[in-house]
Amino acid sequence: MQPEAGPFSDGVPTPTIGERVVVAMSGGVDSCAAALMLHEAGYSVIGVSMQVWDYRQHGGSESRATCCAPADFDDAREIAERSDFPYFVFDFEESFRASVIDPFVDSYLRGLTPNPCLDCNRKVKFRELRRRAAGLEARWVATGHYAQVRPVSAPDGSTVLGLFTAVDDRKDQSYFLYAMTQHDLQTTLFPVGGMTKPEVRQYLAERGFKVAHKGESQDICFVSSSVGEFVRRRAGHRAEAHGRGKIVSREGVELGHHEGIYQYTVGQRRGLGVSSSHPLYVLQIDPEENTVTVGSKEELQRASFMVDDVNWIAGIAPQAPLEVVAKLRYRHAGVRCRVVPITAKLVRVEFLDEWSAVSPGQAAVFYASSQDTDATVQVLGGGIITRDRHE
Amino acid sequence: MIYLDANATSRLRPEAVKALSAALADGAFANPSSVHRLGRSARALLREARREVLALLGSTQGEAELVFTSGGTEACNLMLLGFLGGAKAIAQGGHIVTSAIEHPAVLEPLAELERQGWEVSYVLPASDGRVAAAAIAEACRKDTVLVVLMAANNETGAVQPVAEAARLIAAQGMAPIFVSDATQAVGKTHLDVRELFDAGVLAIAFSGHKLGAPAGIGALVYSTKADRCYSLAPIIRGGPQEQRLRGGTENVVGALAFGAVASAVRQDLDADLARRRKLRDALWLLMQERIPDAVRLGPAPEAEAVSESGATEASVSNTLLVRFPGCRGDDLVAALDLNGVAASTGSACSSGRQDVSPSVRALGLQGQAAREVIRFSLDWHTSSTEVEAAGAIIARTVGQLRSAGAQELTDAA
Repeated sequence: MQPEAGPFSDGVPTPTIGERVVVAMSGGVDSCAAALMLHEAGYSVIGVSMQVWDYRQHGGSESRATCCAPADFDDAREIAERSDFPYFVFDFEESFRASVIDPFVDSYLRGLTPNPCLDCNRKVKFRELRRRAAGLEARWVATGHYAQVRPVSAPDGSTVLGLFTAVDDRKDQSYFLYAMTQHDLQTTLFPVGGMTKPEVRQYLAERGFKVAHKGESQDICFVSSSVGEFVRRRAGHRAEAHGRGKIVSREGVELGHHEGIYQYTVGQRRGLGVSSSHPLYVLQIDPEENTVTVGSKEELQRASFMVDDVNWIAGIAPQAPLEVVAKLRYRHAGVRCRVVPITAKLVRVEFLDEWSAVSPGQAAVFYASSQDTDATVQVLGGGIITRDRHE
Repeated sequence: MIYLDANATSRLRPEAVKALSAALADGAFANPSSVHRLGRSARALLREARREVLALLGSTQGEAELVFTSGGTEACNLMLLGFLGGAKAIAQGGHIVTSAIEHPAVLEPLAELERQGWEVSYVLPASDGRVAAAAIAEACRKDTVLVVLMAANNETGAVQPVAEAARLIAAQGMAPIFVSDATQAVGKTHLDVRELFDAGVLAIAFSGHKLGAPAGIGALVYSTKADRCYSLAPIIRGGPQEQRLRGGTENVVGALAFGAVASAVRQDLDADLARRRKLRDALWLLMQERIPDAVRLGPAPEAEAVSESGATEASVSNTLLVRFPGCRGDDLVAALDLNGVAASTGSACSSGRQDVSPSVRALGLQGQAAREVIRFSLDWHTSSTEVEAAGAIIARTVGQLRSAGAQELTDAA
């Protein structure tokens, strides 16, 4: 029998009808729809839920809507059972702890503001998903991320696969996917990337799945109270070294006390507990001195910043400065910047319009400065914003 | 699909199907408590089922009594909480001895007692999965009220020295209530309830569905010596059914299937035990040949060889717990499912997540090794053809997972 081309083609490699696709199912609306769409399209879907953090074991509340708690899997299971495709729950707690929770806590103790969803997507979700898929003799994986894959011309003129923002720009999750490689894109499907959220809900509702009406999951799924409280509890005695300390001005004048550097984020204005005639912002967090430096908005704004551990999705790093739109956190509107290559993995990013504040530890994701015909934008790559070193 | 997950549940035996069809088609719809002829007829059928299940244990009414329950879990709850004599006695507190590898049907009621102020000692097994009788006896104190030890472990298949422990405790001049969860031993060992009761065990609990009856029926069997010494109290209160120990209209249909299955299991027991042992060992040989670094866990096969008399069986007839280094158990269960073999990592919670259980931890496996364990449990219908096919599929699937793991390492490097 001749292999048929799948319905998700458009010049992008697709599995043949009947081929195995392992779908990561968090139990949320998007991944449930993704699995069901692939199943209906004729692929041999294998649903996989990743148990990463069990609130019952970590003293948190069970009632919160999170992305990967056992109760959330009921909807994934229902889709699989009603559609009669295999479905498995795998325990990823060890990997999640080592790759997400521990680095998250360490980063806060080092005065950074990490985004754990980045590590989770890169080091847990995709890596573990691919490993499990290989074990199940499946080449393809799929997730419910709002993002798209399309062929593009690489800087060297060759045709490669490009990652693009989703059709629904309010749901776009391409920010979390900047670390994907050509190898990843060649065998990954994002079935809901071409749909809007209301369309996805309607798709499930039409088929009578109650998950259609499920709420949105939280950004940081494992923190049930405040981040500061979570870090203090997880870090134990290590948090004490970074506990109560001084809040100082850039000139070193003591202005007050903080209750642990891990409670603060660069750019933060509220809750500093320091009175001043003009608004004060966190400028810098110094883990060695255990100090939080504050200053005016003007002092916070920077002309440029460094980004390390950079990935270029096309697999080719630019040799010359490149104009991009950079998003400096998830849901950031993006600002025009020039990316100046320093080494293969390190770049300097210069603001082209207004200067701005940046939070070391967050990802800076670089988007093409021009939109595609359908208003979607190509994701070029990204990396992690490093701590200020030039001051 | 080759079914090698009998310790989770058995396929319905034809005897159960026949009994269920007959019962559903006519006779047994009436309430056994009703005065009329149909009620009497239902009660007679229930009595017959009770007799058959007791006979499977080598016992008869008079020396033992049987309470039908909704299953093994309810029977364990009744056995533990019922023997403590109701709320007043439970409120007094005391000390309990058990093993660390009991089923949740035992561990969870004990955990609830702990919350109410009871003290529980959990005795660890040796690295072959067997708890030493002497360790149970040593853990007993003057204030020990209850001892509970499973007859066989659901994951390792290790038979536990229940009678021996009871005798040692009696020899120490102690008389705690001694009960046993026999769910995994009935039909898979020569369980002799008379020997247990003579040794001082007061009750055993088990279920029908592990034998080929439908789920929804189980039994508590207690020594009639017990109700002279202790007040066994119901935990489900209602009508006076089941010797006033379990309120609620009886599940006659379930009991009839249980009785029919018990009769079939009893008549075939010696042959079935020998047959499943042989198939289990054949499966292990196939694995050893094709996967030389596979590790068999649980009681040593040598311990089996010297136990042909049946009285000192080291493990149940059907269970093979194996570790394939470098191959995660949950991965293997999933891949085998797709390749046509139903197996289990040993304990799956209702969410489908597969944890490392205390029984596997107790075997001395640390970290990743504890996650590389998979359980194959042969059912009453498992054939030699299936075992041969399963051996080949398992070897191929382990190879498939290992090469995927090796690929992952290459990619990461």
